[in-house]
Amino acid sequence: MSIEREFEGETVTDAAIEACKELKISRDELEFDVVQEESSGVLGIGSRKAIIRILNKVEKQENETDSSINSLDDNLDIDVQSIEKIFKEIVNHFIGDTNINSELSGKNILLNLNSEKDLGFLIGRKGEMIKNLEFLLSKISSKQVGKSIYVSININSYREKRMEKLKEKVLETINKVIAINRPLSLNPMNSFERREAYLIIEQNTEVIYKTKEYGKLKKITIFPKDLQT
Amino acid sequence: MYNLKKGLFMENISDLIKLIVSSLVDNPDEIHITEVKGDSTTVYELKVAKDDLGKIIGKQGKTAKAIRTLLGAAAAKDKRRAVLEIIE
Repeated sequence: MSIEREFEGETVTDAAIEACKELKISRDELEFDVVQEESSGVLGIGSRKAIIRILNKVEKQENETDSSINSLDDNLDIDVQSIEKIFKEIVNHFIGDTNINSELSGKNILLNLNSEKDLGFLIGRKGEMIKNLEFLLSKISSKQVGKSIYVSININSYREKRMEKLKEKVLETINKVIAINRPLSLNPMNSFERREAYLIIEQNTEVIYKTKEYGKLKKITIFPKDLQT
Repeated sequence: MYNLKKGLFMENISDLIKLIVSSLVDNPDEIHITEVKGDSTTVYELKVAKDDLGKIIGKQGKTAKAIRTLLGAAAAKDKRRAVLEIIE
């Protein structure tokens, strides 16, 4: 369906901006013909406004994006099985058969692994192995689907335990900062962990925080509020 | 008996490399892995198609590093060291 509409403006650019606002589309998507170019005239005499004609294709584009989302979902359903299979095979190299179940939400896949055996080496020091496994599996699955997929792994609810520890550590640091009235830094963290930390810090009105680059990660420093004013 | 077990395990590591690498590259048929055994260290030499080299190494060696960590853990189970060399 295409509707033709005309827009006016002081210049062609102004008219285009006006059209974008009206039709709620981005500049890149806008296609128009110039009906009349602007002219400033002489001393305001004979000045003309710019007029452009728009070919409205918004409705058509919306349908296209809808169908592409659907096809992505279909692809993902097949994909989860094969990712689970690859993860199973990798894990089987370390410990025999294990039960893995997977959850899918949008472009995120969560793999749950539960076993009574000692899985410490699958987690690694500070979750190093988990991170590497996640990275490799994300890469493999992204390659298969052709779109970026994020794989997270949870081993014997390691994630929950780690979050619990992180929360404790943050609370402890906040209390310490208030007690000694001096700033203290937390260990460098990735964005996901920092988010959790921010949520806790913001609940406490006696402290504020600042974040500093630390290699690939960032470091949060907690300050007592009255010190920083 | 012990050596036999060790031999079996090392074969498994080659399989593990093959499993990961073949799902990352475009030409899985052109993967060649050779083992060079030492006293406590085994070196795995990995050859892939020229176009796939970048995929195995990754941005700033991230993928290669991840594979090496995985190998390290697999070998550590048998109290051995594993080194992955990517050959051009």
